[in-house]
Amino acid sequence: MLLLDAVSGSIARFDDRLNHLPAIASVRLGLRPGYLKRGTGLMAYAAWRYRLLGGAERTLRYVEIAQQLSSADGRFSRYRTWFLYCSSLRPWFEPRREAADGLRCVEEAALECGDREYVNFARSLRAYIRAVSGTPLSDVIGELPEQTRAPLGLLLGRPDALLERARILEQAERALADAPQLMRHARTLWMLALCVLDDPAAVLEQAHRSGDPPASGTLEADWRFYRALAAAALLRALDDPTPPARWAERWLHRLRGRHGRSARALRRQFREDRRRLLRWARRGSDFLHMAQFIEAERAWLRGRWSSALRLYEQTSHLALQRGYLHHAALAQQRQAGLLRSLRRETEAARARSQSVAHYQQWGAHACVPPASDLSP
Amino acid sequence: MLAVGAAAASEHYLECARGLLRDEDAAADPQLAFDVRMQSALSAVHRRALDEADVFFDRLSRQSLVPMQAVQVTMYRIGVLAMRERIAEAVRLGLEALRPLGLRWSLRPSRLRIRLEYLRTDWLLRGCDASDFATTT
Repeated sequence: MLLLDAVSGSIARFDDRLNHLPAIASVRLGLRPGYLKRGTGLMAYAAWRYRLLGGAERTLRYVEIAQQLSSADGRFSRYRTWFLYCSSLRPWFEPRREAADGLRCVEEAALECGDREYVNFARSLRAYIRAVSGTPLSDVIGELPEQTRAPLGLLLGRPDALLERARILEQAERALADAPQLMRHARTLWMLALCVLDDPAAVLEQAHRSGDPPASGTLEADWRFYRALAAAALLRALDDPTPPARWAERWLHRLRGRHGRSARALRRQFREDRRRLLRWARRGSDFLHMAQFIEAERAWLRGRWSSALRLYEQTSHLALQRGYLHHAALAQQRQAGLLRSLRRETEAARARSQSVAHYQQWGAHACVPPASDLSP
Repeated sequence: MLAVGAAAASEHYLECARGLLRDEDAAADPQLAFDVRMQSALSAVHRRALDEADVFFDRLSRQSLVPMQAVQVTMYRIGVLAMRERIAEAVRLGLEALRPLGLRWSLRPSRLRIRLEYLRTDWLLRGCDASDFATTT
């Protein structure tokens, strides 16, 4: 168990798949006579298992056992188990912002014990969860670790700040090189920002650079969601015979050159992300609209326009109900694009203005064009 | 002295201890020899003299150790490799040390392997509740 604890830190930085080892091994060892029985091991096992295999009933049973075991644990182990629950399990089943509020208790307990490491974990994870779940940008940006603020800062700024995007991205890359532990979370936030700014190729580039999705805080769902949206946009652009779509071919060529990516690989990625999101949407109310959004994209890719429009409409309603302003705005933005391609300009303009209103409400001033651009 | 963070001062005394430690002492009292070398290695780690620490760890690995001592040495070696950002080597060393304990994992396990491991663990956990865990203690 000591050896496992010693190697698990290195494993977390080495390989996402190998990360399952400490969780599985600690449960296996815990079942042997003479080994220490801690709730933390079983809670971590439940979290990793659900991420990969799903199976809510079984996962919740393990959570219950882990909570019972942790009640007999010492103070340190107790709040660490609670941290795992609030960061990696509860958000899959309950509204994420409520689940993230549970991390406040962890932060306080860790602070009382002088455990600065867990204070920082709890604080930053709560900020990430709030950032991806539609909390107004101005409220959440100050809570994020400094190296991960750039993408949301870009959205908060004025539209002319977008001209400096390349420079900001370059600076952020340099900052991340000094903090590799924040890399996956920061890249998820970049994927969010670049998706909102309608740059699918750059979103895929970020996904590729991060390698694996972030392991904690259900941010994997967001990572997969934005990657699927970007893949759908790129695939659609490739099918478009008009000259402006040449950018997509250029980008795909660049991506292929660098990472061996092809349209077929993009389709495979899209299918994988869709499958995962559909699985998580079965039990997590916050993932339902994301899965529906992906279904809308799929319908558009397959040329089922009316079905796609209906799904976009449903997605934006559902997203608004859950407080995901940015997802509602994104769905309306895509809906406007589809309507424009069908030459239904009036409806497209209405969807676009609704989208802008939601972006404004969210605080993404960079996505709000000057009033003259919105007038028909 | 090392425990309160005075690594440089402790090294002074540890150097004397190493000078006094003869091969026959190590044979007569292996625990004492282990303690001296281990504390010397830790003092080097605290002073960030990682090459020096490696030399001590190598010497310790050649010594015949009881399992708990071997685990202790491996743990610190993993820590030193991680401090040097040689993560792959740290993981490899950890996996090699876990192998005799029945955890035989490769550096890049396949998805199928992971799924099978989960299924096997689920099978072991079938019908378990907190009281079952408690009775196995």
